[in-house]
Formats: sequence, structure tokens, C-alpha cells
Amino acid sequence: MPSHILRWLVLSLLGVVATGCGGAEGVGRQPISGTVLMDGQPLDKGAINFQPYEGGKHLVGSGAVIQNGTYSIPGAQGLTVGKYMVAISAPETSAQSGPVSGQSPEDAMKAAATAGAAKERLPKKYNATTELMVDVTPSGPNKFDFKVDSIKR
Amino acid sequence: MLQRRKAFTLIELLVVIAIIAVLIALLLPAVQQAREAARRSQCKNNMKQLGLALHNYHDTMGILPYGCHGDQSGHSWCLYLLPFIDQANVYNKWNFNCSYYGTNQALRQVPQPVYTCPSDTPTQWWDNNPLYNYAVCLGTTNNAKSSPLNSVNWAAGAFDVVDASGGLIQFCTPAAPKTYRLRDVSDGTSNTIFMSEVRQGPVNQDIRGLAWYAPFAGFTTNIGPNSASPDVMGNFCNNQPSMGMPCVGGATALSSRSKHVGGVHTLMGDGAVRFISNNINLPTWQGLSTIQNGEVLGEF
Repeated sequence: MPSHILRWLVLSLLGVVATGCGGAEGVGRQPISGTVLMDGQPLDKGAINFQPYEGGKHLVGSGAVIQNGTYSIPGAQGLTVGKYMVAISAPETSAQSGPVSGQSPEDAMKAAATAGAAKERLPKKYNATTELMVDVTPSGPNKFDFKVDSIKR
Repeated sequence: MLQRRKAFTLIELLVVIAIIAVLIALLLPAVQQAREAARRSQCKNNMKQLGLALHNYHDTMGILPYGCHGDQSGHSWCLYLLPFIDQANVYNKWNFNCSYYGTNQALRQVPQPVYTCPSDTPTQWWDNNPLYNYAVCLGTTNNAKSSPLNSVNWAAGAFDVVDASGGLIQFCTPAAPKTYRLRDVSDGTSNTIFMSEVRQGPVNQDIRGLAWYAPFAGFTTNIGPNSASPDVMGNFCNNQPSMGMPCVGGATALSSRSKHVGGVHTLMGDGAVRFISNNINLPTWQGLSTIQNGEVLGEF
């Protein structure tokens, strides 16, 4: 076989391998990020949740944990283009991440079963019956900052 | 004249070696993917078995088993399905005195492979109780039936336990709660989720996956499958967003999560196991989880 044909063979094979199979991104989720201020201070701990608002569109929900006033959602788990309702909750930071020292598994389980009465620091207009709304656009940057006021006690 | 010996040239040899190398490079990842594909189909098969067990339970008892309720007695679907997955011996030894501990502890510690998805790393909780990967569908908000939660109204799933007072049901109360029958699923069993996957807590004392413990035997559809939105738990919550297991404190709401790429296996009421994409339209996912809401659902 003449060597120039061989060279082309090898090159074209390499080309096929290098291109591989292009990945289609599917529904086109956008990365989302932003900040949350409660009474002017960064919210220490809480959760943000995006629920679809419009019908008839392909809208995935998403959300994130808020830490030190910021949140961010990577593109793979982000939101598709459209309108979303935003719920921000900030339970009082008494939730245990494990047992109190010296607690038996039985007592800890009982505590876990009855837990959930953690007081919410934000009024319902920010979470259960939220009035916050965002519009996710394909061009970005999709940074949404929120200023919320806690329940006055 | 010297006769040239018949042989391959250097270039021909190099080309052959290059082609073989390329083929191997293509094949090796495929072998790894085949392993995961095998685990995934085992995972799917386990869920199918649980679907058959649920239907056998319904045929025998005329009603669906208790899925999940407020107290910590250990009477979740994990217990009631045992006779229908060939584990009647464990079931017969169970002491129905509403205690999670005592003699019942050893029975809970018997690993039940059918409740486990091989794609996930097997973990044990604190008291050597194996964690499991399947959870029954409770409804659209959280275990306490908060309505609205994140602006989504409560609607019951197939394993919501009902009583007059609403809220968390205590199993060991004089007025025993009741569960649904298949005929109550008026949305149609093909359009209703019965069961989906959950992940075992990846770090020590993360209670997610403790399906034998009734409050953690179910999931809700307030957030989509494998969402970046956190699970909500009052205790034993370890926030691990990088592992795909975010969590915050609050009233218990677990969501569907798996280690498969792109989605979760989901058991429909008719016994079919569907792979549901992470990118499912969220109202569709929530509509699939209800039994009597009459939603018109598109493709999923």
C-alpha cells in the first residue's frame, strides 16, 4: 500500500476518534446564583426553592441551600427559561446534625421523629404563599438577589 | 538478484497497533458502563419485585400497606411487604408492641437485598440498621402535609395515611389510621407513582434511607428528582451538596434521589417501572404523585 494513503487513513481515523459524540444538553438548564439578605444582614442558613409559575412550558424546579447569604445552582441542575415563584425559608438554626452527646439511638430517634417544629424566621409571604417571582432568561446572567424582613417578635 | 523477503513494513505494523489501541480505548469505558448498566437493571428489577409484592399485599389484604407515618414504631412498608418477598420468617417474629427496639432490633438488622439498589454504596445507620433505597410516595408537600409548601398545595399520594385530624399519624393510637385501596386511585394507576428511589445517607449518621423507620419510609414530590433543592429534616441532617445530597433543618420532606446518571427509577401503580428524567417538567412530576387530583399529564 502506498504510504500516503496510509497516512490519510490514520489521520481520518484520529479525526473520528477526536470528535467523538457531541453531548446534547437537553432542555437547556441555566445556572442560577445570587444573595439573600435578611434585615440587611446575609442570611446565615436557609433554603431557597424555585417552583414553576407558567403552565404549558417545560419548567423544571430547583433550589439550593443558602449559606452566609449566598446560594448558587450549577447549570446541570439549574432552571429552564421561564417564570418561577421563589420560596425562601429560614428555620431557626437549632436543627441537630446528629445526636446530643451521650444520647442513645432510641432517644435520638424519638427526638428526630418529633422534630420539625423548628420555628420559621420569615413570614409566609416569602415561602408558603410567596410573592417573590423571577424570570429566567436564556442570555443570563440569572443572578437573583433578595432582601427579606424577618417576623418581628 | 536478492529476493526481498515477504513481510510487513514498519508503517503497516504501526497502523495496526494504532487501530488496536484506539479500539481498546473505546472499549474500556464501555466495560465500566456495562457494570453500571448491570447494577441499574438489578436496581430496576428490585423495584419491580416490590411492585409485585405491593399488588400481592393488596390482593391479600384488600388495602395498601402502611407506607409511612409519624411515630417511630418501625411499622413501615418495609415490615408489611416481608411476607411477599419470601421473608415471612422475619415478619412472623416481629413483635407488634409498637417498639422499634427490644427484640425487633435484631430483625431490622437482617439486611434485605431487595430493598437495596446496587448502584448506591451500602451504608448502615448508627444502630447497625442497614439503609435502603426505595421509598413510597406520600404526596406533594411534606410528611406533615403542610399546605401550601413553597406555594405548592398538598395533594395526597398513594401512601398518605389518612385520619380525621390530618397531620402526622401516630400508628400506635387507639384510632388506627387507614390507607388507600387501588380503587381510590382515580387518576389511574398507570399515571400514579407508588414508589421511587432515595439515596442512603453518604456520611455517618445521616438518616436518609432509614426506610424501616416510619417517618423516613416515604418521599414527596415538592422538588424534582435529583434536585439541587435540599431535603428537609429535623435531625441527623448532613448537608452534602457536592455529593448531591443537600439538606436543611425543618419539617421532614425527603425527595427522590439516585446515583444513576440522569434520573430515577419510579414504580407506577400498575407495576410498571419507568426511568424518570431529572429534567421532567416539575408540575408533571407533582401530578404523577397524586391519586385523586385529575391532572392532565403530558409525556413523561
